Amino acid sequence: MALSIAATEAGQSAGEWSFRAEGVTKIYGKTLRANDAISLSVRPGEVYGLLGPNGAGKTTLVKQVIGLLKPTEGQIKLGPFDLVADPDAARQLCCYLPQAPMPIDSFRVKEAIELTGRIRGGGRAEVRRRAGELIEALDIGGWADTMGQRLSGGIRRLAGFSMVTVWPGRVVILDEPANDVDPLRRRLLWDQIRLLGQHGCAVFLVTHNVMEAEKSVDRLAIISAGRLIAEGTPSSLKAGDRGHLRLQLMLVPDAATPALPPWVRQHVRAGHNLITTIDEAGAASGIRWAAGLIGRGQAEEYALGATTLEDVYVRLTGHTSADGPGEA
Amino acid sequence: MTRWHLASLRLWIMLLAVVQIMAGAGFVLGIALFFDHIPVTAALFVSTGVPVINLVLVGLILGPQLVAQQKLQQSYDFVRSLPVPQASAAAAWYTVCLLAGLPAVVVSLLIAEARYGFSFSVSPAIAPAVLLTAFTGTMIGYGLGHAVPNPMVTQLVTQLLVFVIFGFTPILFPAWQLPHWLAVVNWWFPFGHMAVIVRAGLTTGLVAGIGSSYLIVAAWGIIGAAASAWALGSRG
Amino acid sequence: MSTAGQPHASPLTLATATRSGIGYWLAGLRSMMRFDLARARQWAALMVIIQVMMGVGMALIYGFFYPRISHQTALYITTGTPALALIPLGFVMVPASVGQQKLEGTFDFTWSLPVPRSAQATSTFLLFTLLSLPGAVLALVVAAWHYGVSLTISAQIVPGTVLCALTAVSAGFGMALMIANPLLTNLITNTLMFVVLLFSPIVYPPAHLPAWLFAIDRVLPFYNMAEVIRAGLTVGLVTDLTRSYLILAGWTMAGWIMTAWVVERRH
Repeated sequence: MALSIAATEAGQSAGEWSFRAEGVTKIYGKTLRANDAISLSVRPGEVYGLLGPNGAGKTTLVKQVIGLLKPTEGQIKLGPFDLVADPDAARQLCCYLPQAPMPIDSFRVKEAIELTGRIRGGGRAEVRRRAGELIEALDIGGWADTMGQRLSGGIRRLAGFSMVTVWPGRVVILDEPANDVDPLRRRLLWDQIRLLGQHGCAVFLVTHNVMEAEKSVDRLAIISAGRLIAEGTPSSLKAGDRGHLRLQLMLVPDAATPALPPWVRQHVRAGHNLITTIDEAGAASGIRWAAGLIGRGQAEEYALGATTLEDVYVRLTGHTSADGPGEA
Repeated sequence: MTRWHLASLRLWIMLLAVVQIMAGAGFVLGIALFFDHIPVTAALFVSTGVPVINLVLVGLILGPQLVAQQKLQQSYDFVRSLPVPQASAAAAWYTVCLLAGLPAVVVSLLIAEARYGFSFSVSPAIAPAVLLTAFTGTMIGYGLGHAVPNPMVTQLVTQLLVFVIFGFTPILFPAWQLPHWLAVVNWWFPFGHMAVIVRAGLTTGLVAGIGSSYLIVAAWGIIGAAASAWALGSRG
Repeated sequence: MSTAGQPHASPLTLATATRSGIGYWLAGLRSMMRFDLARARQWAALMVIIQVMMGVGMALIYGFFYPRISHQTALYITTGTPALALIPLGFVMVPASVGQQKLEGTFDFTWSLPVPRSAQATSTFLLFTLLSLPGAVLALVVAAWHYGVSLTISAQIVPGTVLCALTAVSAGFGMALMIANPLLTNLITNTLMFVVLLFSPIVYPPAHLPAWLFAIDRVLPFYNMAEVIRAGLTVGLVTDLTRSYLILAGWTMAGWIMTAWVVERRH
């Protein structure tokens, strides 16, 4: 995987550039624990997701990695570097795409990408070449010479992504990179993120979009109320739900939640949707119950399928993610 | 309805009144520093001009800026759709502007009397002068905020206007101290005339052409009100 | 994980060590200035225009307040005009720019770039200072023409004007960074302008002031800004020039220290 890198580095194997956060705690004032003893590690080449509800502390964590915030306690290490003690090194070795839109109103897209690449230390010709590749790979060539002011939100996001990854660091932090991006280009974006991993970068993907996270990450951590409450590959996290199915009911508008049969393991109500988890063995009873609700006019439709990461997320955090099931 | 409006704006009124008092007093005192010994005419004109600014500042500058901000933050349409009769809202706002300026007017005049040894011959004419000046200032501000479609233009114009009323209109100094062409231009605008009618209520024999000044100030007030009524009444 | 159909990407070289030292600092300054210049495009023209208008406008306005303008009055107004143009730049426009960046979250991006923070601040200061000079010069020219005064220009005008601009920008930037709330900054700067432009002897001689007020003004940057520029335009009008230079240097350093403290610290 990281062959090109290992070859160019004399005496440094890829494993030596692993990222480790140990007991990272961030306390505001006396009592607000935005991050509470978070420990995790990411290998070079891994795409690592940080999933959690708004305000869980994901952005706080990554801001401490890049040196915009300082941990109250804990350590953050990248290879031989201590990122807390040396924020200058943090900025040189890591790159960060913030959630807010990039300040490129008066830049042309290509120009913004190239200038940022130069700031990150790339040579002129290489940066130009890599910028061209990214623009083509993300299919934003049509806007290469457009002023930032006139870009739609999605294209601006892709421009921002390109600015940050045209000359990436060893750690690439992406805070909601796919926000506002159209579905077609989203796929191209995820491809590029995977490609960063293949080049040996450790990629932090901060997102609240569980569905996309599931498809794109190697491992992920679920953060809630400042704590890391679960970690692992998508499959391992769903293992707890093995043998279960998800039964989703679309209730009629304003309907009260119907009485739940005892074999419903858990349930959550999100708007019109009632999402329940049942045993595989109870599939037939589940369908009968759902059909009954529809017959009595309490529900409009039902859907029965395998449990998803969303269900794990809901179980662990008590929230649905913003792009919950039933919403595109 | 007007009373409810006023109650919710109570804090604003007090804050604005205080700021105005400080600004007014500051100007009355500060102008003396520009001279070795300030000539009586200069002191008199500033002292009787500062009240005019106190009366129009909130309505002419702050009002449209607030509206422009609403437009930029896209809360404007929402506010417009509220079931508050526009006339009542306007009346409430006028009262705010008046109340935010009157204390400053009084204080400025008192300070001027103390500092420069004036004693103003206040006549009953001061009442319509003050009310009309505040009215026109408020209405022009209303027009700037509501009838001008582009909020950036509104903001730019109001920023410029501060500059203009302080330095390019014969409010704080006599018109003949302006270049002739500028004095002529000012005749068409209400600001210099506002100063004339207020001055007439505070002094005797200092100003002339009071009748025509009243007409021009009133006319501008009506124009501003009409433009706003049209803008607020129209859909889309 | 479909990379089929992707153009073959060139291999990436990832950093193995970190750079430091003066070479790194200068490279950072260079690339940051290129970035800041491109970002300045959207407001640079407007800024110069506003500056000229303010400088020229105020120069004219002050004149209207006098029934009779003596030669000395005209001279004072004219030679105070460049300061009149530079003060709003540093103490109103720079804080407004900082406030806007805070609201938009721009600092999160710029401060995450691998450029030393001191180089970033230097780039900002240099840029604003350079952009402020044409406005100040133009305002002076227009005022001199309008009031018909003849000026005795000496070499001091260059360091005087540059220091003036640098002080305004540094102090304004530092102040804006220190004050967390952008709306509060706006209120403070506007009030400051009003007070300063009235009660500082920028366009009139300090003899008009009561002693206690002059004592305050001698310590604040504004009067001193006017003085160092006036020294390069007149003969015999300015006394105690060294003291003015020192005060301005002090305010500039204060601005740098405030800036360094804010940008270097992490919350």
